[in-house]
Amino acid sequence: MHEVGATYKVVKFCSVQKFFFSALLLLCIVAPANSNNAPEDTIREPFNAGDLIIGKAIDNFEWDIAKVGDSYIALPLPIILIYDGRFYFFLSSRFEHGKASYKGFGIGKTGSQRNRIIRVLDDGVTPDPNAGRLWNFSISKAAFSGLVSALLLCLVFVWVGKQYTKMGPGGTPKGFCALVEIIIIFVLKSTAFSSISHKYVHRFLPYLLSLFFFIFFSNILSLVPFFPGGVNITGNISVTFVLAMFTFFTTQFLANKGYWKHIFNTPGVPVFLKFPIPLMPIIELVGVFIKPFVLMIRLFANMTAGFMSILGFVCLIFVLGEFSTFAGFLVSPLVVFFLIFMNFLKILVAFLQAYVFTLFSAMFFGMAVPDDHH
Amino acid sequence: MELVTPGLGLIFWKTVAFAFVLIILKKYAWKPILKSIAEREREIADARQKAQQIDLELSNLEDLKARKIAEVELLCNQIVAKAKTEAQEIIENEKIRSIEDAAIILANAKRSVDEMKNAALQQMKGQVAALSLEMAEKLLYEELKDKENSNKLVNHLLDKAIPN
Repeated sequence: MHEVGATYKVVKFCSVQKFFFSALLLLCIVAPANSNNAPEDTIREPFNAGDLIIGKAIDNFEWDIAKVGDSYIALPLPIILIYDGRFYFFLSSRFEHGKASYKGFGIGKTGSQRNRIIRVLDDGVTPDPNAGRLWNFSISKAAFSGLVSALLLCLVFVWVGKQYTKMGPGGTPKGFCALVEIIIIFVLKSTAFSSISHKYVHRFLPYLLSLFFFIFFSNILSLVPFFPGGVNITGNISVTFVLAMFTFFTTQFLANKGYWKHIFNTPGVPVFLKFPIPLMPIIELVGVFIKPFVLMIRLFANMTAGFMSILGFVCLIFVLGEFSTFAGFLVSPLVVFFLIFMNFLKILVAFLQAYVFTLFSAMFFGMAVPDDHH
Repeated sequence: MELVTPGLGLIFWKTVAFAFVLIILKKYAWKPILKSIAEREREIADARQKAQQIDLELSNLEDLKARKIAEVELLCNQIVAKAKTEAQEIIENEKIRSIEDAAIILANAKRSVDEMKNAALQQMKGQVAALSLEMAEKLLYEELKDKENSNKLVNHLLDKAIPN
C-alpha cells in the first residue's frame, strides 16, 4: 500500500514538473489561494526527490504527460511480449499506470524487478516465482522518443540532401543547408580526417555523421520539456549500448590486417611480453572490448547526470515546499535561474557529447585501419 | 540498478531505428552532401591552382613589361642623343659654310668695287686729259693774245687742275 502511494506521489509531482516551465507564474497566483481553501485533510506522503528523479531518468512503458486531479494524461505505448512461445501485443493502458495486471503480466514494484514487466500470480501483484524467460520487445518511452528523433533526423537530412541534389555538385548551400554544412565539415575535419588515414576515411564518413547527428538530435530532444521530448534517450544505457555496439562491429568488420597484427603481435614491444605468457595480446584484446564500453558509459553518465541535475533543481522547490509553502515559492525564482543556466549548459553538453562520441569512434576506426607503411 | 541495466526491447528497437537511420541517411543525405562538398573542394583547389598560375603568368608579364620599357627608354635616349649630336654638327657645318660664303661674297664685292673704281679712275683720267686739252687750247689762244697774262693763267689753271 505504501509503495502504491509513493508511486502516486511521484506521478503527481512529475505532472507539476511537466507544466513547470509554462505554468510557473499561474501557479504563483493560484496555488496559495488553493492551499487556503482546501483543508489539509488528506494524508500526505513525504516527497521523495530521489524516487522522482530516478523514475524520470529510467525508461517507462507509458508516456505520462500530466496528471490533472485524479485522471492521468498519458500516452499508452505498445507492449510486445514473447512468453512461453506465445506472442502478446497490447497497449500499456491495460496496466492502469502500474495498478492492474493484464493476461498475467504486471509491472514489478520491488527490487531488481522494479519498473519491469513481470509474470504475476492471479492476485495481480505477487511475482510468479515459477515464471519462465520473458522476452520484452515493448516500444517503451525511450524507444518511442528515439524513434521520433530518428524520424526527425531522417526528415531534416533527407530534405537537406534533396537541396544538395537540386543545386548539383559543387553548388553553394544557402540558409539551413549552409549551417548544416558548417557542422558537417567541422565534425568531419576534426574527427574523421584527423584520426583516420585518408586512404580509408571515406568509408566511415556516413556512419560518423549519422552517429553525430543522431546523438545530437536525441540530446536536444531530451531537453525539450514537453511531448515528444523530455525523455532521457541518450542517458539510457541501452541506447548508448546500441551505439557503442555499432561502433564496435564497424571497427571489427572494417579493420585491416594492420589492426589484427597490432593486437596479436604488437610491433615495437619486447618478445618476453608476448611469449611464453601473451601479456600484450591479452591487454590489447581486453582493450578492444573496453573501448566501446567506455563509449557507452561516457555518454550514458554524462547525459544522465545532466538530466538528473535539472530534475534535482526542480525538486528543490518541492523539497523546500514540504517544510513550508512559502519557502517553496521563495526559492523558485532562484531555481528557475539555475534551470535556465543548466539548460544552456545542456545544449553545450548535447553538442559536446555527440562530438566526443564521434571523435572516439573515429579514433577507434583510425586504429582499425592503420596506414600500410605504419 | 535499473538505471544501468540494459533492456532487451529498447536495444532491439534502437538497433532497428539506428540501422534504418544509417541506411536512409547514407543514401539520401550524406551521399549528395559529401559529393557536393568534395566537388566544391575540388573546384576551389582547381581555382586556386589556376589563380596561382595566372599570378605567375602575370608576374612574368610584369617583368617583360619592365624589361621592354627599359629597352625602349634606352633606345629613346640613344635616339635623342644621336639627334642632338647631329643637330650640333649641322649647326657647326652651317656656321662654317656661311662664314665661307660671306667671305666669298665680300671678296667678290671688293673686286667689283675695285673694278668700278679703276674704271671710274680711267674714265676720270680720260676726262681730265680731254679737259686739259681743252684748257690747253684756250690757254694757247689767250697766250696768243697777251703773253704775260696767258702765262699766268696757264700756270694757275694747271696748278688748279693738277695739284701734283
